[in-house]
Amino acid sequence: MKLDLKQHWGGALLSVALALSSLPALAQDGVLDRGIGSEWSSLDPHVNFDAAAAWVQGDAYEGLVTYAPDGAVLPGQAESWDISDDGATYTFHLRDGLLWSNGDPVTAQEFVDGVLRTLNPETGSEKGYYFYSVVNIPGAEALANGETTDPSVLGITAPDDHTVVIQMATPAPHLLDLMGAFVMTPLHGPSYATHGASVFIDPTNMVTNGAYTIAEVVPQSHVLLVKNPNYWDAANVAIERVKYHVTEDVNTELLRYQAGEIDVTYDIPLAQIVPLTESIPDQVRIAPSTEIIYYSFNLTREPFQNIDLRRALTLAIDREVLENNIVRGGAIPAYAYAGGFDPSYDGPEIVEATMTQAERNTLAQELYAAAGYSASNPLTLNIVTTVSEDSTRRAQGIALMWKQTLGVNAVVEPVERKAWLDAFYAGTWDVFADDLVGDFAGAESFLAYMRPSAEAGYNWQSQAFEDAMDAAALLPDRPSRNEALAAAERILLDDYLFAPVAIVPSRHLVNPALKGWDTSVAGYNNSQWMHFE
Amino acid sequence: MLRFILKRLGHGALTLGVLITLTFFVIRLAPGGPFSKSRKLSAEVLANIERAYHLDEPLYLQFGRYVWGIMHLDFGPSTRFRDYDVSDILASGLPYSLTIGLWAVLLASVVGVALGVAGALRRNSIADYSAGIIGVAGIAVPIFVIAPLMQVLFAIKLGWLPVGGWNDSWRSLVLPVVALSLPNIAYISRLTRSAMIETLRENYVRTARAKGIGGRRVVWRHAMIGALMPVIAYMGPATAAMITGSILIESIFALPGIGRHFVDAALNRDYPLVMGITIVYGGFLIVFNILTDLVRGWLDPRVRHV
Amino acid sequence: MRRFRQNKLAMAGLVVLLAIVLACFFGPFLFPFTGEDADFMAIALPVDLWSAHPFGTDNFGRDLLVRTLEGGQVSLAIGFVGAFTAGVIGVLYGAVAGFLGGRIDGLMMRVVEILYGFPYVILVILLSMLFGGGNIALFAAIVFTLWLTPAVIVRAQAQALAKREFIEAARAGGMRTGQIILTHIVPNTLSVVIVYGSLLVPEVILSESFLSFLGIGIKEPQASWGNLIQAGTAAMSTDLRLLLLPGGLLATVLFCLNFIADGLRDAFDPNER
Repeated sequence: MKLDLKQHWGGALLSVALALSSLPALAQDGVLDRGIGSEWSSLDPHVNFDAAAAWVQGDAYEGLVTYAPDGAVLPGQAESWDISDDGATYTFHLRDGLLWSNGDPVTAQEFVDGVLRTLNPETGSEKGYYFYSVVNIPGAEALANGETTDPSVLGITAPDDHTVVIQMATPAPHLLDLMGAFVMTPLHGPSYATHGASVFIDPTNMVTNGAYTIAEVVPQSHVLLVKNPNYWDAANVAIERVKYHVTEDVNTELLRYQAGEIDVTYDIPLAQIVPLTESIPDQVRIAPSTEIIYYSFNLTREPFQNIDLRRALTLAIDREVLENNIVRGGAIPAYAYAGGFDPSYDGPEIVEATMTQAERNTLAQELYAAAGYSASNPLTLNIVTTVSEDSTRRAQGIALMWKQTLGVNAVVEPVERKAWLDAFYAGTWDVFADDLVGDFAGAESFLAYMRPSAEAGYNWQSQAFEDAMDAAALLPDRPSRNEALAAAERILLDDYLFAPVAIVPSRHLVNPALKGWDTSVAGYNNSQWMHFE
Repeated sequence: MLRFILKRLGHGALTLGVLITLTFFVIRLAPGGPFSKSRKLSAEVLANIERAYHLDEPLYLQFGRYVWGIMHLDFGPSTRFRDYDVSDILASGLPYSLTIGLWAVLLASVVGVALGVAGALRRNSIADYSAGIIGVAGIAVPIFVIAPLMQVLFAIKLGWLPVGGWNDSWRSLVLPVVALSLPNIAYISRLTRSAMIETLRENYVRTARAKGIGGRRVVWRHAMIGALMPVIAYMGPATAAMITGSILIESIFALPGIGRHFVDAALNRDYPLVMGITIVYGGFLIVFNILTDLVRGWLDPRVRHV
Repeated sequence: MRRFRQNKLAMAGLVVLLAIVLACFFGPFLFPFTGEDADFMAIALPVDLWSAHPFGTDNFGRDLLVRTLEGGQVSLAIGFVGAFTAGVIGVLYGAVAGFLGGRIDGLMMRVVEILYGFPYVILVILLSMLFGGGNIALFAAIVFTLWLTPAVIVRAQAQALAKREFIEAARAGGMRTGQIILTHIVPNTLSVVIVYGSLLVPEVILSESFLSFLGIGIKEPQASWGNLIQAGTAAMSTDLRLLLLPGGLLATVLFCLNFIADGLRDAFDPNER
């Protein structure tokens, strides 16, 4: 019959094509081709806020520290650092003989200048908050708000050409997670003074201090980087040229990978994850990232002020079936909010995580009834989500689960991104398909966002949580801090203001001939660590 | 004739002015703004950024500033692509969209008219039906299905052409041009066929043939002109649309044209880029409508306005 | 009408189209489940013509055939009504502009150009704000700019017609402008519009999938051919039937419309009277 024949022919053609091409041609040209998704928002290291453009930034520039492919902190432009006993002062010692790509020496003051530029309101950078929200450096907020223009108020100084001192008001063991190129790129004074911000996009005037320099920029197409001979570790940089391609369409990117045009993809089409994992498992790299998905409840709306109902909705989601059978995007089911990013963080004990789904459903039904709902009096709600394929599938899956387990009438409303953001602040939602990208791979970043004082828009009050976070913020070392944070997370989760759902994965296809690629939660992958075999 | 052109150009400038004004004020009605993308911005930082882009000024002032800018061919900075001005973005992307678009216009016109004429001359024959099916395939099978299939066949399986990207060679053009022309071939061929059948049937054509006057060439010429008139009118807006790029084609074939900005700029609330795109597209549209009116007037004197 | 009935292909097309329409509106009643009933135990079943799910299920365990038929209800309705509305508005607007010519034509065409030029995505967003994200907003978003090209084409035809002898005769005979337009201009431009309109129906149905990216359109879990074809395309290389069933039906509808349009064009051709 017509349908069968077409299906067989079409399916055969495509599967043959995929099978024949599942071994990508080796990159004989010696260029590392990487997909970068949508075009970067800016190549200016003090302005750029995209995670993908951060790869370009990480190749072209280097901060005080750098990161190995597995996420470990390594000395970068600084060869060593001292930490004070109270954990609030870090003294970085720069290497000898550090040079910019044009031969000028790198000085400590240039790191300070980079921070000052990031904080300067005229730069229009959105990254300033790293210096006063994520860590607490005196003077940073005043500079960012324009209350003062006096650089001497900043708690970052360069007492001599080889030393950078960061003096924080409270200790922060995660400071080193922020001292990479994304936040701490130094500013090359002479070229910036002459050419202004165009030095960051114009290869003829560009000066970089990283393993590579930018040789070519074609908007909407690609950025080409070539090896920087003046980099302090140039001897160990194996790949001479790196090309980042704008890959808007994920299916086209896959085809280009199979044709050998791209060595590392930005993403993998959802429908291909299962077949590719079966056919070329060593090339498929899916791992957790620093982004969590959670479904927030609108506390200003009457039904959701009942904690039993919130808990019921949280319990009634079968996260494993949702992520593994329905969304099938590789997301990692999550019962906690801030765990899963930092291996040294244990987090609070979650009773729900150890129950079976049947047990969760039973408890959910009891709580739902206790809240006053039943088959004759069902709850009706809307779920506002973005239009991406993952998100809509997830929302549809959750709506179905709430319907089947509890009898809730859930309507899914996918809207485009700006409208979605706007809807959050307008409060026109019962359940919001929320997500948060952490500022670094640690629990504190996520928990700090939920502070009532941070005014993220959740209308939640809890003095206990604020106090717990304040107490944690004073602890100088990771273990004790993590313990205190776990206690804070306990308070947060016990109020069920949202249902944690899953951790967003990073998904890449990696050419088997490329060595040195590894997956880390923070997702840095400097090209300097890679080589072709 | 010259007076006609000048008059139409004058009207065109006025139309463009109305379009610019309308777009400028209406786009701000959509929820959200260019910098509402991150929820972490503090109020002061957000205020700073908006001040840098003059978004905190009263609207009439922003508008005046904008109009003054375009008189100097300065379309303002993009809010999404922080490194570039709108004019940079348009200047770098337009050549790609234009190249693909012009070739697609050519291909669609030639193939579409040929299929339509063939169908009309051999009405209700196998040739007619085949031409019809081929012609309409571009709409029966959506482009987002055809394009990836072409990529799998020609790029992966046969290796004749690249999957996507721009490689400075003609090979990068083949698949995008074909894909872009397919839906238009459908419309052009059906319009041509229908119009030609009508024209061939017109009474005085029949009469002329019956009386043996005029001969083949005159009849042919008349029939072709009749067949082409609706197509030429269609090509006004169709050409403008094709040469300013299709987001679907440019995404699937990874081409650095301006097509994607028609959707993305609005989704990102990048007001200056939306305005720039609107001006470019509106300008082309107006010019092509003038051209198609002129061409029709030249071909069929009855249609002339002057 | 008789001429239409004599055109075998057109009649065949009409019969097939009616069959599809009937199947879409009445077919689902033959099944014990609806297109929204998800069965997590039966996810992604293949084609098995004698089973409970003859064409298999989708990723949520919903029956594909029923979803396709139910989707056809909405899509065909919006497709036909949308194309028809756009056609009617386009014909009237174009006929008036082309026939009257001069300043009025100039003004009307400038309005067309402004509507063409205005950023479509913004328009859709605003319409969805105005009407909510439902079917009315979808209809408005589709039809708002769809009538523009038919209007341009009809105007061109009307301009040519306006100078013809029989029009002069009618005018001399004292016919009013409005009457001339309705009784002479419009019927003579109908063939172009019918043919163009037949191509519009599938375009309308497919544009619904583009619009869903903007948050407007048929909302899940409700099915439509637009979102079924889109989901099917995403799974194209692994599971072709998800695309083939709705896509095949859409293509069939298109071919039927083609033949019907041709037959109608013949039937209404004033030259053959």
